[in-house]
Amino acid sequence: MSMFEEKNIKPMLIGAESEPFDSADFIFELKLDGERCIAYLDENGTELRNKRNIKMLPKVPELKDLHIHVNCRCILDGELIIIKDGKPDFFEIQRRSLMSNPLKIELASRQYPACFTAFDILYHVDRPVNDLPLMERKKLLESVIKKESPLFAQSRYIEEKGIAFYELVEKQSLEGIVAKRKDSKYYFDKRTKDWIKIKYLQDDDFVVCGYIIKENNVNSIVLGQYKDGSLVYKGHVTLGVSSEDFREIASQKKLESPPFKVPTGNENAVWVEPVLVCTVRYMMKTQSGGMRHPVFKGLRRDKAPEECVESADK
Amino acid sequence: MAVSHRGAISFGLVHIPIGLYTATQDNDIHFNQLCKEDGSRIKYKKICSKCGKEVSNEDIVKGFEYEKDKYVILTDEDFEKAKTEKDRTIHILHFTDLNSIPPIYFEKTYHAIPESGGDKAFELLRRAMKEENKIAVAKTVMGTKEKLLALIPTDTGILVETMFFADELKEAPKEPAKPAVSDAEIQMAKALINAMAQPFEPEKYHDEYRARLWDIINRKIHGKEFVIEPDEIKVDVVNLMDALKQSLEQVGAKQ
Repeated sequence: MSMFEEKNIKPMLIGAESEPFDSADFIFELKLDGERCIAYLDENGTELRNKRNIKMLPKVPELKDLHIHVNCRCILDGELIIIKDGKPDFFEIQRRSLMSNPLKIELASRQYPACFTAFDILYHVDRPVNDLPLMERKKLLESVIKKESPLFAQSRYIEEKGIAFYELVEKQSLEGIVAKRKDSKYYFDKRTKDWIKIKYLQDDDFVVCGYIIKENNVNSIVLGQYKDGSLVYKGHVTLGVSSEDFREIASQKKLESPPFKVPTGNENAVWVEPVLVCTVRYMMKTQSGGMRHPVFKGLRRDKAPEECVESADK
Repeated sequence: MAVSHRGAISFGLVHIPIGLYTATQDNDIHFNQLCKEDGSRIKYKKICSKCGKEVSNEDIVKGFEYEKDKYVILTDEDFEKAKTEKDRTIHILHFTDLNSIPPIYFEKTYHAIPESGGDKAFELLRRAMKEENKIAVAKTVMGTKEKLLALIPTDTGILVETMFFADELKEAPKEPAKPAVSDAEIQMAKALINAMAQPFEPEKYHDEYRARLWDIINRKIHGKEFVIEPDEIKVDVVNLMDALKQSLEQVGAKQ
């Protein structure tokens, strides 16, 4: 069975992070804040899988005809995004991927249609092309695309000028940029140092240690991270009570006392067993080490609490 | 789609880690109750029926009415004592033929999806059951409840059906009378049935009430959208990327 029929691709992942830089050996692309997806396109139709190989078309039925944008059988790597207020909005795509009522999905797909933005090509007509250097894959990608539309776009890239590009992205509060080495090959299911993220919006993972019930259906989640083998207090992030994630947090086994020393402001906290991990997005660290504008991104099930370790630079 | 339950099928000496995903869904259209005057959401308040005071959740306890107006109170500890020990293992008890289970036993259907490391053993179990035309009867604990399960192989995977226990079935309240029918009558009825026989094609049938209701809702939303956001500018990702690229080229030209 060919890679196209098998539909079991695990994409290559970014394996490095750095400060903005200029280099003639790299191209720079906008880091789109959405869900990584692999698109299998041929004259018979479209299949979309996320990086855990979950079928995405039931969530984004508006993309069922993506294949009309290309002129041959191909597998494209890209980002599934939803644009809201002129920017890719991660929460909108997350909200959509949690929907199951087809009528609600239909409504959302008209109000905020999703878009697949292709940045790489992995298979062309009848053979894998992941062994080609990046710039040749980019050329090939360009040649298979017949047209763009609000539902299908090709990622633009900038040569050499990473610093100026990053500054623009920062000014617009976009997520960040990705630097990709021009002669790099594509290795499935690998984290590669040839792809480097340069992020303005930061993500970090924390252990869910408790919650504080507040007014107006918003709660604070009390966060912790491990330092030298024990949990330390890391502040709060707010979360709506009606969310699925909150229900899961509230259903954890309660603890009598907090797992660490807590500052004031946590008197009403309900402490839970520190077994859940969540991702929090923030703009940057404050001088005291706190997060600016922290937003709850979601629970993540593929990481153990012990792996949420306080990083050295904080 | 979120996993509903995680567990492991215990089959001989192997453990097959799996996730269960719901295979059916409620597509009903749900409504919120609103205040007629200003359109705000209606909230529930819990009030004591005797003194009329509002009571908060921590001041509410659970009681079982054993006689009119007489209750025994159960505490969290009581519930804790009764709890089934968590057992995420799906214990296969035996194998049997699918048609030996009457449909009345089937409750809810899940897709079983193997988790990492389970692919091979999962496929082995699926194929062996399929080729032998057998299904597995199993037991597990889901949430706090003990569940009887049927594991049914298909061409692509394994379906897990939760089943009712025998004591959960209700007998028909009355036996239908069975008056005698003549051979001619039964022949005629059979002929009619056979004339109407067709393969079952579920996609032919729809809930038409729901479709009409949805149509009405849609038309109302549409009317509204037009009024609220007449001049929203649509920016797509191509615009965004091109704008960034252009402004970068302008910066480059100036230097």
